[in-house]
Amino acid sequence: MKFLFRIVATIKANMRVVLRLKLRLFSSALTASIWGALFILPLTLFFRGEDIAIALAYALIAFSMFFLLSTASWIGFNIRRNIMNGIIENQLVSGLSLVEFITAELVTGLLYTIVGIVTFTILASIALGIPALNIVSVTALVIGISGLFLLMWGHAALIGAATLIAGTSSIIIELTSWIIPLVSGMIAPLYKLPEPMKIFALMTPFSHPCELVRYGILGIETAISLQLELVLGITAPLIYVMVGYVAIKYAFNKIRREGFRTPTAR
Amino acid sequence: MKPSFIDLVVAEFKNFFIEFLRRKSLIIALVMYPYLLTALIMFIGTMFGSLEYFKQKIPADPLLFFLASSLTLLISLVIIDDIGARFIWEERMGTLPYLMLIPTSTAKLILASPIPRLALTSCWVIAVLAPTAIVIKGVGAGLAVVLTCLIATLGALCFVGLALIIGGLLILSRGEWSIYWVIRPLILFISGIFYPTALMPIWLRILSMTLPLSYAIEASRMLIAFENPEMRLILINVTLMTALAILYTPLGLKTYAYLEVRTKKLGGLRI
Repeated sequence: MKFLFRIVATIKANMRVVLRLKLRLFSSALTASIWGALFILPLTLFFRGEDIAIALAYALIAFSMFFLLSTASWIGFNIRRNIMNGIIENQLVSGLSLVEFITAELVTGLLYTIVGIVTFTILASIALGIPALNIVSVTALVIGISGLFLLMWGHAALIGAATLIAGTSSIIIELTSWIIPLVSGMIAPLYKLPEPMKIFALMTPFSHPCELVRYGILGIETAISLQLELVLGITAPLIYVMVGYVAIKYAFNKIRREGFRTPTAR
Repeated sequence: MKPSFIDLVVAEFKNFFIEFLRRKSLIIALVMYPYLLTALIMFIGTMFGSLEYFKQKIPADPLLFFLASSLTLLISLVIIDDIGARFIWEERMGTLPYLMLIPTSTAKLILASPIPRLALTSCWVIAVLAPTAIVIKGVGAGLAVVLTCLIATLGALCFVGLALIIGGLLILSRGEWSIYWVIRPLILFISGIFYPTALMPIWLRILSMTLPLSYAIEASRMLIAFENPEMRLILINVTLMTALAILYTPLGLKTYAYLEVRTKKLGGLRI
């Protein structure tokens, strides 16, 4: 119960900041959407004029996957900002664990992500047309989305642990946020990837929930059987969560013994 | 003694290069970014769609098309960031009081600040674009690379006037960064940095015609990526971009000076 209480209290504190800076919530979602539109809408150039609506649906899914991973990375990296602002020590001393901290941040991050995805859809619709979405399987979609949320947690925890242990720079985070979606099959369907890349992507936990979401919402065939994908779509992210959990616990013990590597600015 | 414009440029050079050399990861990122952006767009495009349809819409080499666009994007950001957000950035870093004490006009200081970065990015554009262009189009592409770099740099310089207006509005808004973060990609989106303005809806096309960057992007892409670039069209784009610069730069300088005085009166700049 105490675990839940602390998470809710942190979410409340985060929401207070979000509500106080109303403009910032909207503007950061708008900023992410415009950047997304800038890089992902050119996808429609590779389609026939009459298939633009389908291309926009693909663009929407690609943007969502990219945005989810990017949000998770920045949640992990924000630990560094909180250290620099002298906040995290107070939070940890008051009894909040890093696991609870990441869970609470993820809820706030999801709010930003949802607003961002909605804004991107509006922007794409205004500029080029309405995406043609067609729900094929609700089960696949629900399992896929659940798997994605788990992935986000695991990724935020891993990046957080890396930030605490090695003091990762923001540029490294940005580059990994670009490279991982590209090579792990988050953005493009696995059956279209070159064979070595497909094998690599299948071995990562990122591809499975994404395959399910693409199948559920667009009917794009999965690279391996759907039944197997339904199992992997949730088990692979769960394994990733466990790895993230162990890493963040290790980092927590390490900083308690040795202190932070990142200097506090105030 | 009042520092001359040259003194300011030299100071900016020292400031920029010391910071640049200190951040090794930034150097790697600068080389990787254009290729990463191009790889991302080409990857998504070819995985979902087909190069054949791309060539039906745009008679250009897709790799050079997106590479030239990525480089123009990064050059444009130099001007948008260095001029548009200079004072707000300094305010945040706590260095604004020192800048305000310099016995020279702040507009002059702002105009000097992007020069070192533009010099670096111009060399970097040539270094990044030349190998790919030569592999795809042959040794003859060397001149096109240099001209593309010149047009992209000129396009960024033509944007100075508008960047000054943005900078002025930003200090008037008491450093509302969120507005700036929205304006930055929006300008690039409207300019058609990755999506040609000719394929955009008419209202977006009209908006893009008011931005000098749109013409720079169009001209540089035509020059390096198109199979048969029409010199006449390239010259028209360069002329229109210069005409807009002649209109916007004095307007930008006047607007910036007015907004700066107004902000100081209102106590907007926290020094």
